[in-house]
Amino acid sequence: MPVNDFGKELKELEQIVEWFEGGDADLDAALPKFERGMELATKLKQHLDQIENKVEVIKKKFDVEQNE
Amino acid sequence: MQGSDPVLQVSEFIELINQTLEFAYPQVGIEGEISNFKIAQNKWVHFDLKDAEATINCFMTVYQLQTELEDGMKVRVSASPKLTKWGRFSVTVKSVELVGEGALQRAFEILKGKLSKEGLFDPARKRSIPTIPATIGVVSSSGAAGYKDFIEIVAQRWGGLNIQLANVQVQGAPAPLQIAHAIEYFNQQTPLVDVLVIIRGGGSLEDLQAFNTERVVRAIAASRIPTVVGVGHEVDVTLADMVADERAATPTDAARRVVPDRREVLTGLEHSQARMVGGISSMLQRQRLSLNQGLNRLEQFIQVPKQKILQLSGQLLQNIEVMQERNNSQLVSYVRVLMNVDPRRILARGYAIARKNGQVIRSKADVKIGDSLVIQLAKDSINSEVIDAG
Repeated sequence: MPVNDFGKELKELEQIVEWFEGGDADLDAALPKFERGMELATKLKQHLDQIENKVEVIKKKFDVEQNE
Repeated sequence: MQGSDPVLQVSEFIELINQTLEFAYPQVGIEGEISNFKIAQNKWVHFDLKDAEATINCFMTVYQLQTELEDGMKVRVSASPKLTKWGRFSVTVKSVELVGEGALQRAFEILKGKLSKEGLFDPARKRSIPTIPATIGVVSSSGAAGYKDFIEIVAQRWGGLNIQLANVQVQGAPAPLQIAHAIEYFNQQTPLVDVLVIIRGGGSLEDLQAFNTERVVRAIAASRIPTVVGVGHEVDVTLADMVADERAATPTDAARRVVPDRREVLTGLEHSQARMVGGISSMLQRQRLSLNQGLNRLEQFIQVPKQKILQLSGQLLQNIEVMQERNNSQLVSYVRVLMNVDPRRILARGYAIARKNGQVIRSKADVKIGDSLVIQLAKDSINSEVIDAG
């Protein structure tokens, strides 16, 4: 999962949680939301297991226009 | 005048001197104090460099000037000596470095005032950085302690990132231009990185000078990518810090601002799950409660006719019993009546029944002489014959 999807999905999860705490929700609507929320949380948790970051040094030299 | 001396035209002489100077001193560093500073046509910079005993005329282009200057500042110029075509001696300056805290501080104040007036430090200009970036552009020196701190802290906190480093000098004369170019480079890439981090560890005001140059500050201000600047120690404030979208106290702090801590996120996720479970449980609880209430009402609704039925069936049963009792006593009286009319009881009292061919004889007229009659008595019967029917 790309990390910016992580941000998006985290936001979606937060919205679902807020919806649950909004009060006047009915059970029929709640069940699919609950399922989605749990699925998101599990997926996001799995992403947290990723440890490595990729560091890439850009080859370009940045002083070429020294005489500008 | 001796005939063997070479004779040169004036311009040839100046050319010769310049060639000699260039050969002897291609580039020289000179330190002194600025006086008579002026900018002509927004293009040419003139000033004198002096010490206690001597003064020399300096010339450079506005383009090359990367710092704010004013009379009285102590500077070190990198320059080459030159004889002008008017025969005046001058040095052509390639770069100027401020010397000493006083000059640096003064230049800092002047540039800060100027950029502040332009609104570059306005809080309204600041954009928020993404909560969780996928790609991070870093402008720093790969050898700098600050860079290493940044990478280490980022790795402790978050994984799966794509980090691109633009390796630049973070101090010295080439630093401002390299830093600015690196920022511009990141802004020309497709796709853009999610966030741009400009970092350098601690140092003196002179070490941090690149981050107080107009070139760098304007490059940060112009960045389309949200910027985080973490330069120096907590006490250091550079103009680059001030113009950044997010100002970090140190490179380590920059790492903390750019990525979340996976442990915190994990706790947050677990909390979210618990909140959803709590939400749906209380929803179920409410549902069960209202279901029970419904059932209760339904039961009450049924209770009334049920009671009625029980009552009615009780009454019915009672009625049946009463009726049966009544029937019984009637039966007894019937039996008594029947018993009273039983012919056997009458016969027992001495009466007899006379029958001819099974027919009961009630009158003399029913018989004629010679008929056989059976006379039934209480105990047995007598066969007889009619002898007189008169």
